[in-house]
Amino acid sequence: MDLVFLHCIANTDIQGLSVGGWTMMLTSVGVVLGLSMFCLYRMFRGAEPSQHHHAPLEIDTRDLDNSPL
Amino acid sequence: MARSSSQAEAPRERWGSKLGVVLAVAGSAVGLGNFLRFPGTAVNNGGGAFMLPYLISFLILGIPICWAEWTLGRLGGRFNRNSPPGIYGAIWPSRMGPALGSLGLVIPVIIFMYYVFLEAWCLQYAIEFFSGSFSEVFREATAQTAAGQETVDAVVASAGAHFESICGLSADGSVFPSVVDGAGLTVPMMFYLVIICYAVNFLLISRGVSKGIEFFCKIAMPALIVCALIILVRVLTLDGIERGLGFMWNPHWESLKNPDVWVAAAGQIFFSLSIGFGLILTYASYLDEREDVVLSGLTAASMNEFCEVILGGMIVVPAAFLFLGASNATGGTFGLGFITVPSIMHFMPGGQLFGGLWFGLLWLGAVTSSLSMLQPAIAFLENGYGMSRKRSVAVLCTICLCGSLPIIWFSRNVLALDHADFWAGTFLIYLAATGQVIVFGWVIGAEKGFAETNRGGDFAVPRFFPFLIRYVTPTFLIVIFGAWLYQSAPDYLRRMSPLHSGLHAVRTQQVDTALGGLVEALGPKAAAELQPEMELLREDALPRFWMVLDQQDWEQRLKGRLGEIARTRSVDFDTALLWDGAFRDSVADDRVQAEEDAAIGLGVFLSIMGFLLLVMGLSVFAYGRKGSRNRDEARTTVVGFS
Repeated sequence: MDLVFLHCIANTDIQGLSVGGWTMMLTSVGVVLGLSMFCLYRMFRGAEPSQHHHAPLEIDTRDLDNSPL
Repeated sequence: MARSSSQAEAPRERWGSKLGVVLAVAGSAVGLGNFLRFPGTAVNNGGGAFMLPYLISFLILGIPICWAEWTLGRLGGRFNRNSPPGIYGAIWPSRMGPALGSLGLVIPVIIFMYYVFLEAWCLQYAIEFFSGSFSEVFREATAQTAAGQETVDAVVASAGAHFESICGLSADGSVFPSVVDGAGLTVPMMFYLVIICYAVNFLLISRGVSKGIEFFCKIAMPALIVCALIILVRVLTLDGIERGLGFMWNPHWESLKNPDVWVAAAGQIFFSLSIGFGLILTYASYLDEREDVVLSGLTAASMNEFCEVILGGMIVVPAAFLFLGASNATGGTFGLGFITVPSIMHFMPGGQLFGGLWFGLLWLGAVTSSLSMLQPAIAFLENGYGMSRKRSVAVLCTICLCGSLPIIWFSRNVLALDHADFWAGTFLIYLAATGQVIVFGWVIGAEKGFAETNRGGDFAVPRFFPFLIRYVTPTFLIVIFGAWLYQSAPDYLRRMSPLHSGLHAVRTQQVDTALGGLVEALGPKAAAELQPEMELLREDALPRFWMVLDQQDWEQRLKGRLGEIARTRSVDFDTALLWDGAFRDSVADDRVQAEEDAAIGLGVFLSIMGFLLLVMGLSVFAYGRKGSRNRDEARTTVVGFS
C-alpha cells in the first residue's frame, strides 16, 4: 500500500490547500455548519406553535374563485 | 371522487413530532447524490470556486422552492388532501390543478422503480465489505499483475469488472435467475436483495406516516450521520490528506466564466434538495395547520447541505486523489460510488470496516429517500379512491414491480435506468418544479403565499422572498431548464431513434477507424498536433438528431475531410476500407445493437408518457371537478393517532 501511496504523491502537482482553498473550504463548511446549528438550536428550543403567528389565522383565497383556469 | 364530508371528519394521519417530519424530509433529500454526485460535480466544475454558484443557487432557487412546497403541502393538508393531485386540486380548483399535481405522483413512482435497484447495489456492497468477501475481488488483481505487486490501475479495473458483473451492467437479465447447464438454477445475490429492498420499503410504508416513515427516519438519519462522521474522521486523519483536500477545494476561478458551471451548480442544488416534484408537498400535508414550516423547511434543507458539503465534499474525492490519483478522483455518480470507493477502501487501513459503513450509510440514505417516493401514491389511492392502506400498498407494489422488472432486466450499461432517469428523474422534475413555482407565485400570489408560510412560523420569511419567488426563481429555473434541454435533449432524442442510433454506430466506427489510420500514418507526434482538428472532425462527423441521414452523402463529406487532412500533411492515407462491404459487415452487429438499444429507450419514453397520461386522467377524475373542494373540509377537527 505504501508504494502506491507514494506513487500518487510523487506524480501530482497538487501541493495541498492553497489560501483560496482554505478560504472556500472553511467558508462553505462554516456557513453550512452555522446554518444547521442555528436551525437545530431554534428547533429544540422552540415554543408552542400558537405563540408564533405572523399572519392572520384565516387566509382568504378568494382570488381562486375568479381564476380563469 | 373527493372525500365526502363524513369521510373528511375521520381522523387523519399526522407526524408524531417536529423532529420527525424534519428528519423525514431530510431523509428524502439525502441520498447517493449528496455523497457521490456532489463531489464529482464540484471537482469537475472549478473545485472550491463551484461553491459560489452553488450557494447562490441555494439562496435563490433552493430555499424559495423549498418554502413554497412546504406551504402548499400544509395548505393542502387543511383540506384533508395528502397527495399532490389532491393538494393542487384544493389550491387550484380546476382541471389544471390535479393535472399538474399528477406529475408529483408519476415522478416519484417511476424514480422508485429504478432507485430500488440502486438500493440493492448498496446493500450488496455493504454485505460484501462487512463479510470480507470483497477482498477476493482484489486478490485476483494482485495475482494477475507482475510479481504480485498491486497497481492502482489493476485494482480499479478489478473493481470496475466486479461492478459490471454483479450489478447487471455486463448483460441484460444477468441479475435474474438463470439455468446454467449442469448447475441447475442460479440465482444471483442481487436478485434476492432487490426483493429484500422491496419488502423493507413496502413494510415500512404500510405502517403509515408516523409508525413507518417517521419511525425509520428517526433511526436511519442519525445512524447515517454517525457512520459518515466516523469515515470523515478516518479520512481527515490520513497522512497527506491536505493534498486531496486541495484537489477538491482549491478554487479555479476562471471556471466561473463558463455558464455550464452555473447550470451544473443550480442543477445540483435543485436535485439534491428533492424539491418541486411532490415529496415535500406530501410530507408537509400531514402537518397541523398551525405548525411551523419556515424553520422546519430550513432545517431539513440545512441537514441536506451538511451531508452534501461537509460529509460528501470531504470524503470521497480527497481520499480518491490520495490513494488512486487525480484521474480516478473524478467521475460520475456510479463510477465514484461503486468503482472508486471500493478501490479506496482496498488501500485504506481498516478499509473492510469503513467500506461496510460507507455502503451501509448509502443504503440507509437510499431507503429514506425511496420511502418518500411511495407516500404520494399511497395518499392518492387512499384519499382519491377511498382505498384502505393495505389495498393501496398492494396496488402500488404491483404497479412498481411492473416498472422495476423491465428496468432491472435491461440492465446492460444501465440503459433503461438511464432513459427513465432522464425523462422522469430530470425532464419531468423541471416541468413540475416550474409549474409549482408559477402556482405559488402567480396563481395563489406570492404575498398571500408567504403570508401562509409565515403562519405558525418560528421566524418570518425575509421580505424580499415574494419578489424572489415571483420573478427571480422562475426565471432562473427556466434558464437552467432551457440550458439543460439544449445540452442533453438532442442526444437522448437521437438515442431513442433506431434509425439515428444505427447510423451513429456505423459512423462512430468509421470515424474511429479513420482517425486510427491517420495516427498510424502520421506518427504519434504529428497526431498529437492534429488533435484539435480530429476532435472537430469527430464532432462534425457524428449525427445529431436533426442532421442529414443520407449515409452516402455523409460518407462523401467524411472522405473529403480526410482527403484534405492527408493533402495538407502530405501523407498517403487510403480510406477505401471505410466504405467497402467487409467493413460494413464488421460493424453490422454494432448497428443492430444500437437499434435495439434505441427501441428500449423509445419504449421507456412511451411507457412513462403513457403512465403520466393515465395518472393525469385519474387525478382529474378524482379532484378536477369544480366544487370538489369542500370548504367545510378545512375546518375538520384533526385527531392525531396515538
